[in-house]
Amino acid sequence: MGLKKSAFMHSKDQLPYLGIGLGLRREIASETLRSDKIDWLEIVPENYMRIGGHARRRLAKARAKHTIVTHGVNLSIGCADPLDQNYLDDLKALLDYIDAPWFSDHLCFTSFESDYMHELLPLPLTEQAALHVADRAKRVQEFCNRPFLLENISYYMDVPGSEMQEASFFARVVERADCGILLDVNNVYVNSINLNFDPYVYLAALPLERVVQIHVAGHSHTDTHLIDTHGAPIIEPVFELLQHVLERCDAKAVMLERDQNFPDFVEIENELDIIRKMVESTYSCKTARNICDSTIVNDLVAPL
Amino acid sequence: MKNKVMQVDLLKETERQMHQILMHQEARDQYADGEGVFARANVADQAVHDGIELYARLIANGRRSLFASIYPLAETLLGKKFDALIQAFRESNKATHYNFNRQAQGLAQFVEANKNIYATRYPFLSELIEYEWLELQVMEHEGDLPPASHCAKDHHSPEEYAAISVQLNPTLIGVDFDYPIQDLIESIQSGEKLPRRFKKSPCHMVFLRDRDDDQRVVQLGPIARGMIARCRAKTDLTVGELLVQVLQDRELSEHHGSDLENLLSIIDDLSEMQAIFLV
Ligand SMILES: [Fe+2]
Repeated sequence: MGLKKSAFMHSKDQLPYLGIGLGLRREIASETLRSDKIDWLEIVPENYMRIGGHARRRLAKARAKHTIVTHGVNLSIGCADPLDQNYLDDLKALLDYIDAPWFSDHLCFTSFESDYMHELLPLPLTEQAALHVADRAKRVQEFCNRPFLLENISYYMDVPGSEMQEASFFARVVERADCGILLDVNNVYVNSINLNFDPYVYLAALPLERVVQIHVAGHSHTDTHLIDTHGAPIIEPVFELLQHVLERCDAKAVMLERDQNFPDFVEIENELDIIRKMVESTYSCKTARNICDSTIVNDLVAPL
Repeated sequence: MKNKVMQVDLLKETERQMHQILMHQEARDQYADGEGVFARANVADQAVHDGIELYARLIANGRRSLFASIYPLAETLLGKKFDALIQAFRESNKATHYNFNRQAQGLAQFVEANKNIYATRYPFLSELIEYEWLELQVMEHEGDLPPASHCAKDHHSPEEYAAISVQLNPTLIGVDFDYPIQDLIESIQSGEKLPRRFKKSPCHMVFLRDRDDDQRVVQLGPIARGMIARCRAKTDLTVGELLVQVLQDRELSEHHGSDLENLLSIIDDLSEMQAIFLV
């Protein structure tokens, strides 16, 4: 007998399959909106919440053509302060305007005592921090009235006082909150190098059935770290992680993150093509296998 | 419950220390000698120190490029001192809004409040910074402009014209400057050497976003400024009411020659520059 599905897993079943997406960025907005290689768009909501002018015009155009989801940077879900209700009100208004099927933010904190640092900072990985984050994630999901996804960040040090692995922490949060996962495979790779762990072991510890969206991106190097800049082409080990994850989850959307150091748009489209091929071939295999499996089941039950 | 409160306090204490260390150079220089979560005794790991340095650098670089993009003229003028200014500003001013650009808000007020430190060479610095901030403000202002099709067309009888409503551009911001700010900006942009002494020359500027989402900055005379103030005070003013109000203003009519023809041409100019809409 299978376990009863949670409310989130039920709502995941109802979510549309969006396909291959790109982040809507001002610098490449006109090419993005002209391209026929993009199925859906992701926006940074803070760049559109209560903002008029060019941003609003760009959003209206995007909304007329594509499904849009938001990927926030300043919900500060791990912050010990109370949730910022003004932020949530503005976010909800935007989500309603674009009719987003889901929304996401990062598993981190970005503010302290109402001071936004504008950096995704890692949390101490403790049971109690997990409970604190899960409680807030649950409330945010309820308030915004649509599925909420948390993304694994790239981070550059283990916070002192941590008492569990990141994957266990992440799993604990999303299961307790009953929310979804935005799995960033580039972040998994970057962290595995910087913090010296096996990315495949990390992935094995996550409840991959909760993955709704996947991020793929390139990164850069400093003397001491790989940095998640979204400013370079995707490298092969990251594609391999993507393939590994696709085979193990039922993602509704895969997105290329490119935020700086923009190349010719055709290079971005080429990367989108590669991602599309991987997703479509993996998912058509999976669909074929599922049909095959269900035929076997039917054959077995037919004589009864 | 008590345990939960205690643990959230521990989370809060960790975040408090990270915030201190990352946002304040002095705290960063000293944290290893302190006692908290990040003290060296607790953190033998070099990786944590490298991580702290990296995060501090990422935050500072992000902030620097943001401020330089919003205040390019102030950056040109101050050169290397620009970095010290924004560091000092940020250390004593929280970024309380979630929007990235808004962390640069209030720099003009900070310079004005500390002008003996930052504005000795350029006494107009806070006004220049305010000017650059307002350029961004109007571009991001959430106000919607009435669509062009809603605006009254030409060829009215005088009575019809007097009954037209005047609507103020919701993005419009008016500011008084002590210094001839536009002349100074032109000099900075063209790389001219600025004089050692700066003469004050008060002016009133309005900043607005037009229907094409372009920004406009215009200097206004006293009558145009008076009209804008009246439109702001009463939202459903008609052209006729506006004219009567300005004509009845003794100060304006005595000192600035507010004859009807002049007033009508000012209304035309304000409408042309989209400071007001005749709807
Ligand atoms: Fe990501």
